[in-house]
Amino acid sequence: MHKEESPTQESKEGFRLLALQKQGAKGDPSFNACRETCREVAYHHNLIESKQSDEHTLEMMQFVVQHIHLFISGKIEESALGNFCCSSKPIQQS
Amino acid sequence: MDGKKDKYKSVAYYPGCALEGTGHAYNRSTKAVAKSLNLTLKEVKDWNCCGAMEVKNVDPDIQTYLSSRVMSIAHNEMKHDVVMAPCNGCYHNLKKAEYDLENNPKSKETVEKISKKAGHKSYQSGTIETIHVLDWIKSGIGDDELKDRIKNSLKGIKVANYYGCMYTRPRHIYPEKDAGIGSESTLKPHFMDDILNLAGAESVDFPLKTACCGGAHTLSDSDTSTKLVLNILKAAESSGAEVIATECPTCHSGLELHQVRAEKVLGARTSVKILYFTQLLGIALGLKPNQVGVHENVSSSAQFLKKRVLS
Repeated sequence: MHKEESPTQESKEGFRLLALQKQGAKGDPSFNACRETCREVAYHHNLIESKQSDEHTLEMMQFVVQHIHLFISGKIEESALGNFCCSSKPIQQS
Repeated sequence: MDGKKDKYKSVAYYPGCALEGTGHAYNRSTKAVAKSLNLTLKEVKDWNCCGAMEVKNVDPDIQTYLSSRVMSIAHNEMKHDVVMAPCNGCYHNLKKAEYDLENNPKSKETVEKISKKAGHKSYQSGTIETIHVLDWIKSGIGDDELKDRIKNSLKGIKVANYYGCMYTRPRHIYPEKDAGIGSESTLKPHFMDDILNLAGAESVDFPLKTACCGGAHTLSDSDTSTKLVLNILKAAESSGAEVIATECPTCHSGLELHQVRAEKVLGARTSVKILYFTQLLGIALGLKPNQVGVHENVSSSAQFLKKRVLS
């Protein structure tokens, strides 16, 4: 966390994940960046939920978690990166 | 399914910019597969860029117009009712334009205004069905017929099917997906798995099949893109895959180029092969590697194919 020691319990636009992204990011990340992060987390959470917990699946889930980490941290460390994402809604419609 | 088979027999083909550049092998292999399957592609006349990611973020209504112009030409001038786009970006943008014109009066007004100024009929939503090359092969041929046409089985080849992000997201622009038995899934897409399995390949369980390839950030944050790609490559290898099959020129280029960069910058070597699914299917249909552009890929797969499929 860049700004505070512990994760916020606040919500932003009604969502805690958005508030966490705002808290962790350098600068002031756009709503678009936050939304893309939340979407990836929710999407991959659904994938994990649909799986059995055998050894191979757990190994694969490590890659999923690593991917989410990279996807989110890239945007947190580079302010405004999330504004430009392949399948995202255009910024002007955010 | 039979209705679609007839409908997809001859479609308007929208290759898009990438397939004339870095994705040329995808263009070549798609056309070669079409010929082999006796399906007809009529390239959209005087087509333009779909608006890609750049225009979308400057003015989304202009992107809607650019995509709608392609559909307008296909319908109003070429009298087609299906446009097939192999590029995920083009496919996504045409579907998005369709959604916007149906649901956003401002977008419709802008498109009508620009179309009038440009001197062509504006596109009317609902008159074109935009499909991906996966839909086209899956429904345009049918499982039994495709299986009968396989000459060089891909038996024994383990494939991780990689769809990228734009093929399934956002869900609301793909109303035909998640629509019951036989339809594509947005959570766990399977059309590419189905097609390559019919060609004899073994599709491995691959959890990152719709993960971000870092394409949009490849210039602004190359290191993150390289790490994202490396994670995909490693996950594929850990899944037991020998080949990653792709269906998007942006993802494909990203995987190939960052595979090289990962070795150079991070010292991380991966050996999984990267091929367009149309290249694998073309080989299975009896086409030669150069007919499907294997020589145009960055990653060298010629020896692998020679040893594992063509020997």
